[in-house]
Amino acid sequence: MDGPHDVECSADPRLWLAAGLSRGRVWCLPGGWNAAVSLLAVAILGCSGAIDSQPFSTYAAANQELAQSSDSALDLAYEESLQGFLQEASRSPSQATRALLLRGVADDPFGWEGPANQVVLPWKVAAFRSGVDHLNVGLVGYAALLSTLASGESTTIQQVDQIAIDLNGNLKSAAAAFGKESDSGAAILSTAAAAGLKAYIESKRRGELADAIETNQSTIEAASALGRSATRGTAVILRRAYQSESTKLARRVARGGSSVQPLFELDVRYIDSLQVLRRIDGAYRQLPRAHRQLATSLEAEGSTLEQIKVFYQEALRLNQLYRKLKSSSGGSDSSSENGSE
Amino acid sequence: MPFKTEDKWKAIEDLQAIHRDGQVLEIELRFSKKEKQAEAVWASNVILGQQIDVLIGKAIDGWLAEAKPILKKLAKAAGGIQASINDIADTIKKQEKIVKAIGYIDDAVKIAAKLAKYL
Repeated sequence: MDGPHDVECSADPRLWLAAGLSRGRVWCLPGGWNAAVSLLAVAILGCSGAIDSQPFSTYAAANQELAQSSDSALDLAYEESLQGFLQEASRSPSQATRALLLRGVADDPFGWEGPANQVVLPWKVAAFRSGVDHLNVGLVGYAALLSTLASGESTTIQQVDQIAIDLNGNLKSAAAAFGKESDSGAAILSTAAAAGLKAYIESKRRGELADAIETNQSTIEAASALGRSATRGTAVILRRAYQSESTKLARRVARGGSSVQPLFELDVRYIDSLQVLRRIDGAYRQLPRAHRQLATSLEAEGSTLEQIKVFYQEALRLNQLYRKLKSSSGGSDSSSENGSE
Repeated sequence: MPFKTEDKWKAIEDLQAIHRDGQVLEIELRFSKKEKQAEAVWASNVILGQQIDVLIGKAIDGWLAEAKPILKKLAKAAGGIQASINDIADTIKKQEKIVKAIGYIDDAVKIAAKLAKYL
């Protein structure tokens, strides 16, 4: 029976299949030819292979863990700076009172500001925490979208398969209307068409991912530097609070009113905090390398992707360390005493 | 040229080291029962501590200002990827429409085939 019904041929099988689909024409060949042509199309189109989405989801998960650790550290910094401010206020109420007398801001009906050359440090730390949160939300969101693009979740392979099923159904009906029995030819054509579409989409996704990683590498590097700077700032804030608190406890020992144990325990918590911050700094430092390695994962199947694994493990360990730190932190006695206490 | 935030953190860290030297000196004086001198050191250090707080506040302001353009670029990067995701989804939808169109043509073919029997 068979022969082509108005199908265009071209050197590129993708165009050939697309042309066949778009023009609603039925390609019928002798049975063996159907299979051969379809297999050829699939072989040519199927070269690029499925993207390994695991590195992308690992990268996304690591960003999530890092964001949580970073925020937890700033939460601690805020609490410590608040305690420090209240202690200072109990020693020098006039200074603290002056710092708390807020004013409006010219040309901003909802604005406020404190006196110049005075600062309520906890408020600044709260603003800092909010800014760092925006940074981390941006990094997490970006990584999640990369992961979505890599996994093809939004496109769903099921949709492509459904296209094949629907196309198969339509082709069979058309054949039956002319009194022809449906045969495996229609099924092979619709399968080949779906395989062609899948391969085209995989190739497109791979290209878009590679472009995105290349284009955004410098932004990730800048974000990484910003994260490291924020971590350094968090250490500065914690040091400020520690130095104030430890001096207070040392005074008590010097005056004979206390043992060294509270000071010892404070030191342990402070050292643990600094360790966590050092690791957070390390994780931010690894971020650009892990990001770059995502491109490698697109090129080489089975590549070791060491950087991404290290980044993820580091981020996981951070959160565990921080949870341990938080549970051991009981806070020190912040009751005020006269004069220089 | 305004200081970058990293330079500000470094300057504050150096001041914190001096502040700490003052605190250690105060404690040494207290252990030596030299309370008057200890109070004098404490009073000076309080002022230094307040100045450090002001500088930390300014460094935070600097960081927030530096962060703005980077956050914009991150948002743009995410927007680009979302556009890629949407583009691929559109490609699939187009193919779905084509298959639907084939379905309509198929219906027309069936009708034509029936008509052909009577004409």
